[in-house]
Amino acid sequence: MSIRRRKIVDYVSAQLLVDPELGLDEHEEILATGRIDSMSVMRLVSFIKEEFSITIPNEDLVVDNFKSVDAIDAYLSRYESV
Amino acid sequence: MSRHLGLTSAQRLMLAGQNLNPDDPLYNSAFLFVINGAIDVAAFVEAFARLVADAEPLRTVIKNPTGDARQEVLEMTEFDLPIIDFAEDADPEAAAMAWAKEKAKQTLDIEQATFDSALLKLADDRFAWYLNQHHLVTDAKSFEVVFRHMEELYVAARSGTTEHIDSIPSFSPYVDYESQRAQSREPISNLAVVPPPLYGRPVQAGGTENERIEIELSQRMSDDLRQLLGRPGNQALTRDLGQLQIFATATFAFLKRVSGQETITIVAPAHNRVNRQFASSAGLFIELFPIEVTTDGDETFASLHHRVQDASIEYLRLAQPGHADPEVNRRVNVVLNYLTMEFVSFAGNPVTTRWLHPDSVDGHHQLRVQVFDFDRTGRFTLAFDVATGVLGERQRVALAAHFETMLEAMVEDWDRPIEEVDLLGDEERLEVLALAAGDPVGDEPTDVVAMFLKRAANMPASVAIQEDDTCWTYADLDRATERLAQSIEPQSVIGVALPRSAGAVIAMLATLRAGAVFVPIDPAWPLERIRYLATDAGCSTIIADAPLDVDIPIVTLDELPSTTPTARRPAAATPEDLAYILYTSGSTGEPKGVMIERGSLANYISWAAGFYGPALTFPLFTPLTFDLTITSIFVPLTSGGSIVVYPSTTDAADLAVLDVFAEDAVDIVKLTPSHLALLVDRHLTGTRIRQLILGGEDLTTAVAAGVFEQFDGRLTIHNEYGPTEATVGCVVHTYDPEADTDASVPIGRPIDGAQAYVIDAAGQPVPPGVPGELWIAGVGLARGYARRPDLTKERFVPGPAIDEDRAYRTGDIARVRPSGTIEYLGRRDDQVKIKGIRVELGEIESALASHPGVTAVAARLWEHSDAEASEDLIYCTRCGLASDYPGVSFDANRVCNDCRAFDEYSVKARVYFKPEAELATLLTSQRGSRGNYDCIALLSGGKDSTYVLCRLVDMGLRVLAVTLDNGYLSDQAHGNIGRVVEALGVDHRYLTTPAMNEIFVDSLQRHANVCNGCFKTIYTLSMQTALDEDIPYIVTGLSRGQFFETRLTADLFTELTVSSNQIDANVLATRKAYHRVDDAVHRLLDVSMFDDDDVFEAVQFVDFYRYIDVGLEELYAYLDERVPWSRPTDTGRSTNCLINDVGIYYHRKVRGHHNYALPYSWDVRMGHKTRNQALEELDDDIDVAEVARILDEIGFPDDVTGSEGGRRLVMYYAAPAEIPVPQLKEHMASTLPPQLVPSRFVRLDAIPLTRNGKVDRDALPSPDHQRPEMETTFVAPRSDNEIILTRIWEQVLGVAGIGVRDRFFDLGGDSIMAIQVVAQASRAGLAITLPDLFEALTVERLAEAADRSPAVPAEPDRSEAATSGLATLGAEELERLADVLKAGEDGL
Repeated sequence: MSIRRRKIVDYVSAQLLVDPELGLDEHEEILATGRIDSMSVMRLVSFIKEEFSITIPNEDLVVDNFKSVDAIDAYLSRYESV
Repeated sequence: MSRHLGLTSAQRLMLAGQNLNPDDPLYNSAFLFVINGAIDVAAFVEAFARLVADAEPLRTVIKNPTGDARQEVLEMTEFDLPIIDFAEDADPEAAAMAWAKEKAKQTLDIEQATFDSALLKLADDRFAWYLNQHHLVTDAKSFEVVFRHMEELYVAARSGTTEHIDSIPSFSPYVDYESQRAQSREPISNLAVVPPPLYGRPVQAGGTENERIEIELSQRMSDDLRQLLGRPGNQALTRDLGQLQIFATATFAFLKRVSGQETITIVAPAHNRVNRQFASSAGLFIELFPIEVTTDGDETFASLHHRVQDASIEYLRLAQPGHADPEVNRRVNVVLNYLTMEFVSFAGNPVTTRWLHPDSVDGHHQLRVQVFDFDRTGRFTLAFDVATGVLGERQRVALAAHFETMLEAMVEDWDRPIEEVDLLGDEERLEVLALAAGDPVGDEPTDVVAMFLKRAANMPASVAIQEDDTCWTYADLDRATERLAQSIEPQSVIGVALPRSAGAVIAMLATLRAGAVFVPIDPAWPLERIRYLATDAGCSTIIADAPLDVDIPIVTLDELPSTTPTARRPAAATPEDLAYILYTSGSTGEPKGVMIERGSLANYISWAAGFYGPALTFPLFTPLTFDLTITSIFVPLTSGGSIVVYPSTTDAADLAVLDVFAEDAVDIVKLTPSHLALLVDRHLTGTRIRQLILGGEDLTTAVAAGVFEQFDGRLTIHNEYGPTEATVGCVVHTYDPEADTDASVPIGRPIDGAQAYVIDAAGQPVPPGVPGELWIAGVGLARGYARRPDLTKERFVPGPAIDEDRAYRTGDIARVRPSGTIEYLGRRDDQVKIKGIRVELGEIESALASHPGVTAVAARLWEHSDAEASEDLIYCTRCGLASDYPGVSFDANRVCNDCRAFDEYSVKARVYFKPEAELATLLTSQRGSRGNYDCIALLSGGKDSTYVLCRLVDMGLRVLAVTLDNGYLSDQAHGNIGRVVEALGVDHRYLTTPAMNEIFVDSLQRHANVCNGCFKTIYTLSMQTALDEDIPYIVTGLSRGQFFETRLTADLFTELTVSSNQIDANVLATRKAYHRVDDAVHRLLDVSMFDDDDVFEAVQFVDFYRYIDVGLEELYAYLDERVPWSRPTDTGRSTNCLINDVGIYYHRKVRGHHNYALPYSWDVRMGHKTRNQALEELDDDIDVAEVARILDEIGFPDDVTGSEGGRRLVMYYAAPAEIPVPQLKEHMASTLPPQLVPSRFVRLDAIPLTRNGKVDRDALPSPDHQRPEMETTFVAPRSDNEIILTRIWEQVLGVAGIGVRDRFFDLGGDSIMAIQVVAQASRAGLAITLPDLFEALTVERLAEAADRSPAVPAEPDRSEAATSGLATLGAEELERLADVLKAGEDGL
C-alpha cells in the first residue's frame, strides 16, 4: 500500500467514519452507505490539501471520486503525472 | 460536582440575541411527539429521570448570562415530569396541542433550567411527550439523539434493566474543539452577502414576532422532488446534499422572483458533528453558513441548479466548526433548513411529530424555509417561518403558495425560465387585476376644445393667459384661436415652432379647434432635427415666429388675417382623431413621434382638473415639447384657470423655474424632481403656491421632504407618473410625509380610465410586492408611433386582462403594494451591474439623496473602452500614436497632430541638442574640486540606462551607478545589473526606501501609473547620494528629447523658448517646483535639501541623450558587443520592473489609453524606436490576477480588476461645499451593501439638467476631469484676473471646478502644462512668467503676480521686447520672434 493510500485510510478511519468500529475496507462504498457525509468529504479535501498539496476543484467533488478509498486514491493518482 | 464551561461562538451569538430580547421565547425549540400506543407512565417517568442524568444538555444552565456568561452542567436537576390528562377532553388531541403550543411560548429561565417537559395523556392508548429545550443547548440532530436515548431508557425501564445503558457523550469536548478551531476563523470575504428583499420589504430586521405556515407536499410532488436527483448532472456527494441542493434551487428561484435581485445570499445550518463522538452527542452544534448565488436574467431551473451546486460546495468549504461569521449572519435574512432527522416510532408505537413554533424567532430571520419528513411518511413538509413585522397575514399565506407554485413549476419543467413562472393563484389574480384598474370613466365623449369653449362662454372677461404685462381674457383667446383655426385645414398636421409664449398656446389650441393635429417643435433645436421631425410627422405647415430653412410652408402669427372671419363652425372632431404628435428621444436611435388622440387628451385633462382642482393658475415655464407641459396649458384653460407665461431662455438648462418660485404668482406648479431639487435650500417664502405636481422622473423622498419642510408643510406634493405614450400622467400619488419614508415616493394608483399592471417576463401579472415591468392600458394609450409600425407593435401589446387588446410596455420596473399603491423602481435600461450585483442607479442615488448636506444627486457608471477589445482604433502612420490618446487628431494621411507639429518645429528643436564631445567636458569640469566620482548614472537595468552607463565608462569617467530597488525589479533585471556593473568595473548601489508602497499608491492616485512615483523617488534618493558623496552631476537617460517629465514639444518652441539657455532655465524652474510638490515622496522621504535653490547648482541633472544621438539598432548592437546584457523576458517588455504592468493596466482602465503611448510615439519620432517596435511593445498581455495581487500587496484599493474592470461608479452631488468623502460613504453604507458604495464622488454646484428639467446623465462631467479631492478648501475665482487664470488652468489641465487656492501640481499639472498656461495667459494679456507660476502655484497668487505686472500691450514695442526677458513677451510677439529666428535658420 502506498504511503498516500495508508494516510487516507488512517484519516478516514480515525476522523471521518461515523462507525469506525466496523473497520474500513478500501473497496467498500462509504458515501452511499452514509459512513461519511458531505461535510466529512470537505474535511478530507482539506486534509488532502494540507497533506499532499493538492487543491481539488469544485467540479471534481463528485461521487465517483470519493465513493471509496479506491476511488479517492485513483482520483489523486491523476495528479502524479502532472 | 457541577462543571463550568465556556460558550462556543454559536452559543455566544445566540445568547446575545436572547439578551437583546430577555422575555422573548425566540430560541425555544419545542416538540410534541404524539405516541400512538399505550405508555407505561411509571416507566416513562423513571426513564425521563434517567434521561436528565444521562443528557448533559438537560442539566446545563447558563450562569451570568448578561455578563461573562458560562455554561454550567449541574450534578443533578430536580425535575418531576408532569403527567397531564387530556383524555376527558372532547378533543384530547386538540386540547393537548393547544396546551403545548401555549407552553412552548413560555420563556425559559436559563439560569435555572434550559428545558421543560411533560407527558400528556390523550387516551389510554395514546400519549404525547412534550419537550422544549432552549436552542442554546440543542439542535435538530440533538433532538433525535435525546429522543432515541429516551426510547432506549423507556424500553429498558419497563424491564428494569437501565443500568447497562451508557449516557449520552458529553458536549464539553466540542466546546474545546470549537474554541480551538474558532481561532483560525477568518472573515468571509469572497462573498457579496446580499440579502433578498422579500416582496419589496426592507431587509433590515423586522422584529422577532413570527408565524409558521406549514404545507405538507403531496406524495406525488415529494416523489418528483426526489426524482430530480436522478436527472443527469444532479447527483451530489450524498443524497442529503443533493436533496438540499434541489430545495435550495427552489428557494433561490422563489427569492429571485420576489426580490427581483440577481445576487442572493441566504444561510443554511451545517451540522458540525465532524466525528463519531460529536455525532452521538447532544447540544448546539450547528452553525449557519452562507450560500450565495448570482443569477442571469434568463435562468432556467436547470441552469440555476448548476449555480446552486457550485455555491453549495463553496458553502461546504466554509462550513467548519467555529468558522461561522457573525457579521455575515447578522446581514442575512433568509434561512434554508433541510432537516433529515426522523422520529417515526417510540417503543414500537408510531409517532406523529409536531414541531411547535413559539411564534418568535431571531429577528434577523425574516424567512426560514424548513423542509422535513420527521415521521418518514415519504411526504415532505415545508414550514415557512415568516416575520409578521415584514409581511402581513395575506402576504404570508401568499408567500407559502408562491413557493409551492415555484416547486410545481420546477418539477413540471426543469428547463423552464424562472422569470416565466406564473406565481399568481386564480383568486389572487382577480384581486391583482382589480387593484390595477383606476376608476372607470363614462362613455360620453369629451374634448378639450369643447371644455375650453364652455369656459370662454361662461367667463369671457376672466384672465386666461398673462404674458409680461399683457393679459389675454378667455374672450381674447376665443377670438384669437378661432381666427387662427380658420386658416388651418382639418386633419392636417401643424408644426408649432414657437418659443414659450401666449402665441404658442394660441397656436396649439387653434390647431385643435380646427380639428387638426399639432406637433410641438422647439425653435432652438438644430435645424436638422426640426427638418427630421416636421417631415416625419408630415407637417403641412409650421407656425413660427421667424423664417426656418425647411421645405415646409412657414406661417408666422403676424401673417394671419387680422379680422375675425364670419363664424365657421369648428370641424367636428371625434375622440379617435389625433390631438398631437409629440417626439420623445429614445435612449437609442431617432426621436419617435407619439400620436395622442383627442379622447386620450380629454380624459387626462378632465381627470387632472378634477384631481388638482379647477380654476387654478399654472405657470408655463417648461418646454412645449415636453408632455409634462400639456398639464400646465390645458388644465387651466379647460377648468377656468389661467396661465402665467415665463418666456424661454437660451440657457442650456432652462432655469425659469427659479423665477416661478421667486415671483410666487401661481397656485400650482408642475415640474420635474430635478427642478425641485434646485429649490431646496433656496429659502422659499412664497405663500401662494400650494400644490406641486412632480413628473418626468423618480421623486425621492429626500427631495419631497426637503421641499415640504421648506414650505412649512403648507404644500401638497403630487407625484404623477406617466410615459408620453399613455398621455402625460396615468398613475398618481399624493405625498404623505408620515407614511412615505422609503427612498422614493410611490407613484400611486392608476387615474380614472387607466390600468397599470406589473408584469413578469411571460406577460403575466405578478403578486403584490414582486417587481416586474409596468404596463399601462386604458383610454390614455397613444395610437402608436408615427411611421414606426414595428416599434408600435413591439411596445403596444395585448394586455393581461381579458378583452384588453392593447397595453403599453413602459420599460419601467415597478411593484405594487398590497394596498394597490405602485412603487417605481427604475428603468430597465438604468440597471447596472456592480461587482456582480444588479442595481438601479436610482437606488444608489437614493442612498445619498437623504444626506442633509446634499441638494441633488446623480450616479453615473463610467465605462472606458477597453483598448484591447477596441478594433476601431487607428494609429498614426508615422509614430503609431493611437486614436484613443486624448486630444489626438489625424490628417487625411492618418498622421497625428503631434507629428505634424513636430514637422514645424523640429528644425528649431535642434537648438536644444549639443555635440557629443561637450558631455565629457562638462562632466569632468569639476574634477579635483569635488568628491571621488564625476557623476552618478541612474541605472534602471533597461537598455537605455545601460547604454548610458557604458558610454560614460567609455568616456573615462568615474561613475557611481545607482538603481532604485522598488521591490519589483525582475530577476533578470537584477541579473543584468549585476553582470553589467561587474563587467564595467563600476561602483554600484541599490537605493531603496520603506515608503515605496505608499509612493506607488500615491502615484496611482495622482497619475494613474507607478512610474511617476519611481522617477521622483530615484531623483530624490540620488540627490541625497550626490550630496553625501559630493558628486556634481546626475546623468539621466530617458530617451532623446525627453528629459525629466517633459519632452521637446511644440509649445517649447512656438511660445517661450528659442534658445538652449532658455530651455534650461525653464526646465530648472520646473524641476524646482516639481520637487516641492506635496506628494507621498515629499511627505515620506527627506526632501529638505530641495528647499534650498543652491542645491540645484551644487548637483546638476544632465540629460545624456541631449548630447548623444543613437538609434535603436545601433544601441542594441553596441550593448551586445559591450556588456553581458540581455533583453528581459520576465517582464513582458523592455522594462525591468514587474509592477510596471500594474501602472499600465490601471492607466488604461481609468484613463482609457496606454500611458506609454505618448513616450513611445516620441521615441519613434526621435528614431529611438520604429513604429512597429513601439506598437509591438504597447500590445501588452497583462496578467490581471497578478495586477490584483500587487494592488493588494501595496495596499491600493482595487476597483479595477474585477469583472467590471474599467467601469467606475461615480456619484455626483450638488452641495454648497465639499463634503468629506468618508462622511458620504458612511451615509450611503447605512442603506447600501458595502460593495455598492461608490468610491468616487464629485461635487457640483448643480446637477446638469436637460431642457426638460430631467437629470442629464450624459452631461455629468468625467471624473477624470474633475477637481480631485483636495486638502485645500474650494474657493471660487473672484477678480477678473482670477477668473481668466482659472479658465486657462481648467482648459490646460483639463480639470473643471478649480479653486483659486488649489496647487498647480496637485491638479495634475506638469511642466508642459505650465508652459501652456504662461503662453495662454500671455495671449490673454496677463504678464506672468514661468517662474511666477512656479513661485505662486495657485491661481490666487498668480493673479496677484499678474496684478503687479503691467498688462501686455496689444502692440508691444519692438525694441523693448528685444531687451526684456523672453518670458515676459506677448504671445504674438513670441510667434513673430520665432518666425524671425526660423527665417534666420532657413537663411543659413
